[in-house]
Amino acid sequence: MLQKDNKQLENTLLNLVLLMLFLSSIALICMKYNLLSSVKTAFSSVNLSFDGKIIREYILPNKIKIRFSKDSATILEDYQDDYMEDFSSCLREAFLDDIEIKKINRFEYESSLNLKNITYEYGNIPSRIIEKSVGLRNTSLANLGAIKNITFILQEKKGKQIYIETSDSIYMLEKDLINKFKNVDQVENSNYVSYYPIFNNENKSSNILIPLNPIVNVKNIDVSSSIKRTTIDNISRALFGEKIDFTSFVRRSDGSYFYSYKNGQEIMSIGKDSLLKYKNNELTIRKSISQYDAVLLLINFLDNLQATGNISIYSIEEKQVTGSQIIKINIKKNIDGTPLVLFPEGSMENITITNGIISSCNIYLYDVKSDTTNKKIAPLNPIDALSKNSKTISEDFNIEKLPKITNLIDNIDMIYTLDKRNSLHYSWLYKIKDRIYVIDSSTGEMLHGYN
Amino acid sequence: MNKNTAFSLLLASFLVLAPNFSFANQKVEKMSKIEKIASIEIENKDEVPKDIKITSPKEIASISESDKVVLSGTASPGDSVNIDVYSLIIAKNSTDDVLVPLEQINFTINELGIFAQEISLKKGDNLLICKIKRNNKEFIFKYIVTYSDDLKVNLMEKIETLSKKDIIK
Repeated sequence: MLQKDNKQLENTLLNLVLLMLFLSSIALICMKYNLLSSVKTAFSSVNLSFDGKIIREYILPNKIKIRFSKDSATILEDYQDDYMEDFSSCLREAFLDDIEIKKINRFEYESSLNLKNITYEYGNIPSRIIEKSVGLRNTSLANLGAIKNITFILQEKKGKQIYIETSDSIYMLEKDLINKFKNVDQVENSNYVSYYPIFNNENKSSNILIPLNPIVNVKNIDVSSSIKRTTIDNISRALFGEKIDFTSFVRRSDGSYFYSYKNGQEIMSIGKDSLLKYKNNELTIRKSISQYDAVLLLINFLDNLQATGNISIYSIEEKQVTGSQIIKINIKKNIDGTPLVLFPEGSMENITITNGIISSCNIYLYDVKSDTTNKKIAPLNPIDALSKNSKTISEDFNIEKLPKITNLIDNIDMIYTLDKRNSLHYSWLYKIKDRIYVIDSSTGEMLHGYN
Repeated sequence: MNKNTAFSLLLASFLVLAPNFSFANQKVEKMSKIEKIASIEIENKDEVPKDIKITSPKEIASISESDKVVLSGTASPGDSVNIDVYSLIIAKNSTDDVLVPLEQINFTINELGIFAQEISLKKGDNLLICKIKRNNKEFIFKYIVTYSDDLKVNLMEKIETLSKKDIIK
């Protein structure tokens, strides 16, 4: 009898063990093939929320332009926090009062831009993000769309208007701005570098401002890999989440790292130059998200990588490809407002969000610190730098006369970039049609061309 | 009517009409000087090759609120450019204006075929003479830029003032 009972107990235990083994293998299969909703990519959740102060760090303007009169203007090479504080407090005051916003035409807008003003230039940043960054909630600012420029008119007798240019409309609201932007008067009374609209793009209504006699502050810049403080293990865990235990890992002889999940469905590599590349080819969830949520995803992503600091959003592009929503966010590292462009081809670091999930990223894991010295240098102006490379560019475009090319320039930016010897250079970045050229502003040497 | 009466009448009518004639002549003179500035452009226009253009300043006479102005344009690589900048000042104890040379800039057109030169202005009226040389031919462009930080300045008043000054030789 006792023997029979023991056998029964043994069978029950065996069944239990078998059941447990069966359940755990099912759980492991689910984890491996991402079948459970709780086991998903680390950056797929859109229920994120950040404090306005954190968001503000990412929403620095690409340029701050100051127009003193119709004949004189400058672009700030460096800008202090005061400019952003004035920006925030003006927008807060204007939108808290629930002032009427008028839609205006381009002619009226461009006429007003001849008055003394300060313009903050952005690359299609969602207005809801700007709203959040200045500490506002549920105002009409959130519904304006993708913001390109915010202009505050500072003319003494007419200093009441704020103009907001979005990707498809121009808005105007009236708000007294007395005692704001005191720094503008200081710049006006200083020996500022004048900027002029020399290149007139045939396809753009706004002209590109360039300096003819540029003078820039020499800076001591320290660019160091941030991998020293956040380990490769932490980065891979941040990207793969719970799937990290199912990835294959290779450390190459050149010091680079490579992770692969499910035969390359999701891959990550970190080069010896600290370039983090991530690609997720399996995008099963079909869900469109707003650009506001996309920005929050980006902030969460960078926060998890501990790659924050001196990073801001350069531009946002959205498109639909075969029914999928693709949002590409270009980001830049700032050296006192001037972008540090590390990709040799002149493109910005970026992340791509496909159907609400981060599908790729190309980011340099660098920390950037800078100190301004008292020394100043006079680099080549953008015309002379471009002229030194005219032969190469004319061959690229297969035309003999270059004045035609100067009419096709979309944008000119001053950037910091690395040359082949890994030394930092103050350079001019030209966007000519769909091509990017980077020219060293001290020597005129082309650092990146089309070919 | 005796001779004295006739002489008196003629003298009186001369005295009455003479200032009018003089004023009329002055007006013509004023107009002719403005036209003279313009005519230099017009005279050259037929001869100036299509690729030689001044894109800034846009007007022959203009007012700048800044102490700097840009003289920019297009030409062919290798063409030489000479820019003379003068300040126009009214000399003391004289009705004539004095042309004070401020700056002379010489350069050759770059491979891009465009040029842009920042020019510092003195308060008041400034004369910019830009000569573009190609194959022994010279094309001259003249501009008057008045630097004034007074926003209430009326453009027409300034042009009227400019016309009184003997700026074109």
